[in-house]
Amino acid sequence: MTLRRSAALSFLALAALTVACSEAPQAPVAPEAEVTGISEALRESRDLVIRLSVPAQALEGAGPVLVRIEATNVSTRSVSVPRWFLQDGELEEALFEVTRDGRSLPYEGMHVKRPAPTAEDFLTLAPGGTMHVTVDLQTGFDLSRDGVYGIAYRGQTGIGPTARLVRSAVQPLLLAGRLPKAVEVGEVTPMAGTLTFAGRCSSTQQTQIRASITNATTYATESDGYLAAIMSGTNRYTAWFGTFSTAAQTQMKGQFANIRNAFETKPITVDCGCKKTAYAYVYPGQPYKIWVCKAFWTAPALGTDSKAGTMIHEMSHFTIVAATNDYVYGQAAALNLAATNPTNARKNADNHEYFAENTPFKN
Amino acid sequence: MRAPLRCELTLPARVTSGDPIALTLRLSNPGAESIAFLGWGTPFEGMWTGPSIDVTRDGAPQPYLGPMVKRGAPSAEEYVVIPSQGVVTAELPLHEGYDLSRPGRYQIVPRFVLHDVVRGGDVRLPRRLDAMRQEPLRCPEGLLEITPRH
Repeated sequence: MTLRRSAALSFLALAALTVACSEAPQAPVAPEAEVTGISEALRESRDLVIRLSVPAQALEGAGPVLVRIEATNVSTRSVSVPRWFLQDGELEEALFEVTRDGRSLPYEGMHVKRPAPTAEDFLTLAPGGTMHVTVDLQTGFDLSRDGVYGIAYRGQTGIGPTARLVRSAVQPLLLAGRLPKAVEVGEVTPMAGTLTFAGRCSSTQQTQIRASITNATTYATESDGYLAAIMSGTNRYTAWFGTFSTAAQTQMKGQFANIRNAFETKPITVDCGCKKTAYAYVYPGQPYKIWVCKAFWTAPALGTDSKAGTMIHEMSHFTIVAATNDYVYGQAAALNLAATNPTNARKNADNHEYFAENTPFKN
Repeated sequence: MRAPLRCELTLPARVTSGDPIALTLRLSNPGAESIAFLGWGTPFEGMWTGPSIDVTRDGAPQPYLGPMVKRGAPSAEEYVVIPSQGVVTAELPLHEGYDLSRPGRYQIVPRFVLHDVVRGGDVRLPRRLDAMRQEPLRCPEGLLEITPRH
C-alpha cells in the first residue's frame, strides 16, 4: 500500500512539474485552483497531439465504425494519460464529440464507475513518443442513420488540478446504407426493434407485453403526428402540456419522436420479475430495459393507466429518450401540473402517458 | 396556519471514496394534530425510487442512477404517521442512488415532495390517487467531501 501511494504521489509531482514548465508561463495556475472534473472548463494541453483516421472517407453498409486514435507527445516532457482515454475496443467514456449532418449526437455508451485512480491507471508517453488505439464508435453513439458525420476526439491528460483537455480536429465521415433492417421475431410484427423477455415471463405475459409494445408504438406514432400537425394550443395539448408555444411544441414533438423511434428501432427488454405493487420501473440510464410489476398485469390494454400507456411512461424516462421525471402521479395531478407548471409538465412521465392515451378523448 | 413538518438531514462530512454514505432524515411534527404522509420518493420508502435529491460534485450535476417507478394506488402501509410532537427517522445509502465514486466536494440539495399529506386522524387511508394532496418537504442542504483512497 505504501509503495502504491508513493508511486501515485510521485506521478502527481511529475504532472505538476510538467504543467509548471510547459504551460505555466502563459497562465500560472494557483496552487489551490479548483479545477476538477473531466471535461468542463479544462485548459487545453499543447503537449499531446491527437490525429484521427477512419478506414475510408465513406463507409457503406452496417457494421462497426472503427476510428483510429494516434496520440503523439510533442513536448520535451513525459505526458501521462488516464488509460481509459486511450484504449482499444469499446468506449468507456464520452471520448468523442460526434455530429450527424451538423447536429450533435448524445453519448449513449458506458459510463464506468471508477475508484480514485492510482499510478497504474495512467499511460505514460515519453517525449516524442506515439501510440495508437482503435475504437468502435458504434459502442458509444447511434450511427444507425445515413449521413455526414463529424468526429472529434475529446480526452484529457493528467487528472485533478493538473488535468488538461486534449482535442483533435474534426474527422468527416460519410455513412451510407446503415438503416436498420427489419428483424424477424418469430411472428410478423410491425416493429423493426427487437423484444426480449427476462425474469420468467409466462407465455400469457409475453403475449400481453408484445401487444402492449405494439399498442405503445401506435400511441407514440399518433402522438408524434398530432404534435407535428397542430398550429396552436388544442384542448388535448394544453390539458397535458399547458400553455402552447412553438418552442414547447418543438420540445414535445422531439420527445415523442424519440419515444416512437425507440419503440420502432431499439432492442427492448421487458422483465417480469418485479413483485411490487407498482406498475413498472426503469433505470433512466439503462435503456431499454423495463421491469413490469403487479399493477401492470391488472391494467387494461388501452386507455387511462393502461399497459400500452405504462410503456409510454417508462420509455419516456430514459435519459436518451425524453429524460422525464415523476413530478406527480395520476390524471388529476397531471392536469393540475400542466395548468400551473408547464415546464415540469413537459418533463413529467405521466403527462406523456395521458397525452398518448388521450382518454377521455380530447381534440 | 398549520405547522409544517420539520426536517433535519444528516450526512457524514467527509468520507473516503468507495465507503458507504448514509443519508438520514429526521422529521418532527411540532403541531397539535397528527400528520400522515406517503413515503413515496423519500428515505421512508426504504429504497431510491426517483431523483429526489440534486447532487453536484464541484458544481457539476451528478446523474441519478436508481430506478424510477410508475405507481399504482397506494396502500395504507405506505403511509408514515407522526403523532403530534412525534419524531420519525429513516436512513438510505446515498451511494445507491448517485455516483459518489470520484473525490470532490459534493453538495446535496433535497427536493423531496410528499405525494400525499393528511393532517388529523379523520381521513381514511389510503386516499385514491386522484384525491391525494402533495406538499414539498423542505429539508436543509448538506455538504460532503469525498477524499481519494490511497
